[in-house]
Parts: sequence; C-alpha cells; structure tokens
Amino acid sequence: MARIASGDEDALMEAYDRHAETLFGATVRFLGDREVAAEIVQETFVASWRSAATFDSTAGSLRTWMLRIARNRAIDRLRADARRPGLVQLAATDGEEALLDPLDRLAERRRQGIDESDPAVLLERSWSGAVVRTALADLAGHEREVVALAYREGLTQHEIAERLGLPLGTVKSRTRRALAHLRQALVRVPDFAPGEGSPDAAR
Amino acid sequence: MQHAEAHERLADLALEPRAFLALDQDRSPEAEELRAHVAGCATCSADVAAWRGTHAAVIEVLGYAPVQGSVAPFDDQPIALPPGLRATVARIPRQEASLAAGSGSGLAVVAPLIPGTAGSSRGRWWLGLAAALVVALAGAGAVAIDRAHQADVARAESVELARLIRSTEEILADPGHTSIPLASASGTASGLVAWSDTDSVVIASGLNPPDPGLAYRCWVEKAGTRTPVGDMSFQQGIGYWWQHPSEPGGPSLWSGGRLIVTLGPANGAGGPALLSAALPG
Repeated sequence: MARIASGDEDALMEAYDRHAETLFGATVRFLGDREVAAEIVQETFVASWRSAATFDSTAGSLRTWMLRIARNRAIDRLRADARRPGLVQLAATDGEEALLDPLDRLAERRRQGIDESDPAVLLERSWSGAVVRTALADLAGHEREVVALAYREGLTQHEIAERLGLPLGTVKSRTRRALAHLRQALVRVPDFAPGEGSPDAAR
Repeated sequence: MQHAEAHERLADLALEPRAFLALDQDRSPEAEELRAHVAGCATCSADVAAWRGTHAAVIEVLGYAPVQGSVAPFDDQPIALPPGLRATVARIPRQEASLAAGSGSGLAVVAPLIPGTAGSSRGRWWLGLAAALVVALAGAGAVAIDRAHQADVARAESVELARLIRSTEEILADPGHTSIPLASASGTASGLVAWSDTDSVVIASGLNPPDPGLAYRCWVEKAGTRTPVGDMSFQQGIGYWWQHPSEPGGPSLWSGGRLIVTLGPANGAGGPALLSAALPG
C-alpha cells in the first residue's frame, strides 16, 4: 500500500489483480447489478489511489480496507437510487428514510429473528453474506464438495470420506485447504468478524 | 494439556464445523481439558474466535433460502470481472493526475476547452456538449448534502463527469483522433462519438431519464445488422459510454456503417435509433 501511496501505478494494478474479483463478486451479489458493481469497484480503486496514505495496516489488511470502501459505496447506492428496478423497498420506520433491500432473501433473515426494524443491520448482514458467498464460489469444486457436506449436512470427516469413497486423509486435506481459504477470506468482514488468530491456525 | 497438542486438536475440530461450535456444550473430559487450555492461551483463544466466526458466517449464509432464480451458496460460481474494468482502473492514475492539475473545483477541471479548436466545426460540437456537461456536473454537485450518503453519491457523480470531460478533451487534443457528431433523425446535433488510440467516448446530451428497466445503448449498425457496443451511463440528461478502444465492442472493430443510440430494455435488443453517427469506412 505504501507503493500505491507513493504513486506506483504497478502497485495499483497488483492490488487490482489480487482483490478486484472479490470486490466485484461481493458487490454483484449484494446489488444484483453487474454494471453498478463495476462502477463501485472502479470507485473503490479511485478512493484507494487517493487515500492510500491514510491506510493503516495495523487496522486490517488492504483487502479488508477495500471491501469496506466497496461496502459503503454499495450501501450508498442502494439508499440513493430509490428508482432502481428489481429492488424491494423496506417499510420506512418512524421519520426514517425508506431504505431499499437488494435481496428478497432478507425476508428469510427476518424469520430468523434478525431485528427487521433496523434496515442498516439488514444491509450490513446482506453485504457480509455476499462476501461469504464470494468466498465459497472461489473454492475448487472438490473442496466445495467436502465443505458442503461438513456445513450443510454436519457430517464428520469419516462420514464424508465414506460418502464420497475417498481416503480420510484426502478428505481432511481438502477440507483444511477450503477452510483455510474461507477463514482468510472472512477475516474482519464486518458483522461476522472472525478475527485473525495465529498465522498458522489455518494449516 | 500442552499448547502443541491443543493446537492440533483445535485444527482437527475445526474441520467439523458443527462439532466445533458445540465445543462449549461438550462435557467430556477431553473437551474440558481443551477448554481449560484455551481459556489460558491467547493464541488458542484467538484461533477459536477465528474459527467460530468463519463457521458462523458460512452457516448463516447456508440458512438463507435461495432467492428465486438464484443458486444455493455451494452451487454459486465465481463471477468474472467485466473485460474492460482492468483498463479502466489502469487509467485512474492518469485521470487523477489530470484532475489534480485543475484547480480542485468540479467546474474548473473543464477549462481550458481544447485550445485552438473552438473555431472549427469539431470544436463547436465539443463546446456545445461541454456546456451541457458542465451543467450536469454542477447539477451532480448541487445535490442536497444533508445526508452523508447523498454527498458521497454527488461526489461520485461529479468525479465521473469530470473524468469524462477530461478524457474527451484528451481524445480531441490527440492529433490522430476521430470525432463524429451524433445527430437525431431530424439532423439536430445531439452529441459526439470520438476516439483516439487511448480512449473512446460516446456522449449524448438532452436525453430524458430512462424509465426503470430501460437503458440507452450504443450499437454499430451495418447492412441492417446491429452489433452491441455497450450500455450508456446516464446522469443529469447526459448519456455516455466510454472505454479503451481496444476493448470488446470498441472502435478498433468499427468500420463503416453507423453508430446508433437506442432506448430499450436493459440487455435487450434495443429500440429504434434515436441518434446516429456515420462511421468512417
């Protein structure tokens, strides 16, 4: 990031190559609009270029910092663009500006007991969910298979090995790699904030 | 329990998310021993917190019913980046340097307008459009800023319009550029198509805001066949499309025919040509 702050254009493009797909994937999943998501990614890199000198590495990674910028801008777009088609409008609360819910799936969340009177919470969680989905989508197919069985069906590693007809060691190594990716991808995502733990924890 | 053993057990336990999240409820001696170590070990406590957060995040997402037409989280696929986005981001340093060279106010970045071209027909097209863009830029900046997000949106729109103006100026200042007026069916000049080796723009002024679900779109029409160029962004009565000329759909592929602007369903076939510009053969 110091290189970006010093005006190194190559460093900006390295950051693009490393983080743009995550930023774009999460924003598309949050907004459901590729064009607006592309604009937000562009705006995120403009903001990063301008504000690189203010980046504090002790407060989180560059990826986390950029995700936060993208999240703020995506939520701003939703709030400002009340005419956007395909969005569901949440009921306004007393004196509060009506917010737009980009996700019909929020209805499901409300049934899960999330405070529906606070649109900001819903939007925050929607963003976090979009980041999680993006991380899951990045998994290799064979990693996704074992992790899906672990999360969705609650199977043990032995049960997964039996189900898939694979050696236990293979299942473990695939699961480890997948979880290490997820843990890294979800570090300090707002709302879930799993924390960073020790550097070797995912191995 | 030694740290190495505890660390290994946590790593194994983490492979089974539901068991990991139920660790606090496990009353077995082994679990009690592990919890006792974790309670006194900052490293292991941090690991437990990290894994709990990761597992809770994934399990929460899995708990949502998929939206109609969407896929379950584990069936979701990576979303490819738009092909032109990297080139757009690569232009940021140059554009920011250009903006910084202005006085810092949104309006100042448009001056001076292409010195030496004001008397030519090419200059007149741009001057007329630039005037409309300045009005649009002022409009974007004049949005009430009583709420922070509105201010951010206004800033983003101002920045984008200012960049569009600067890019157009740079194209027109390039001796090798091509520029063609966009005109309505009645022949009224309504915009500009211009490109150089480094940039390309289509700008149309005086447009009505598209209704929800509709978009202004650029096409190249040749021998009755339309090839999409791209959807136009729209702000303050100005429709615009802009990208590096070598990107898909750009002027490197234009040869003859005409560039047209339509209004129709987003990602649809477009409607009748509202504006057109004859492309060089």
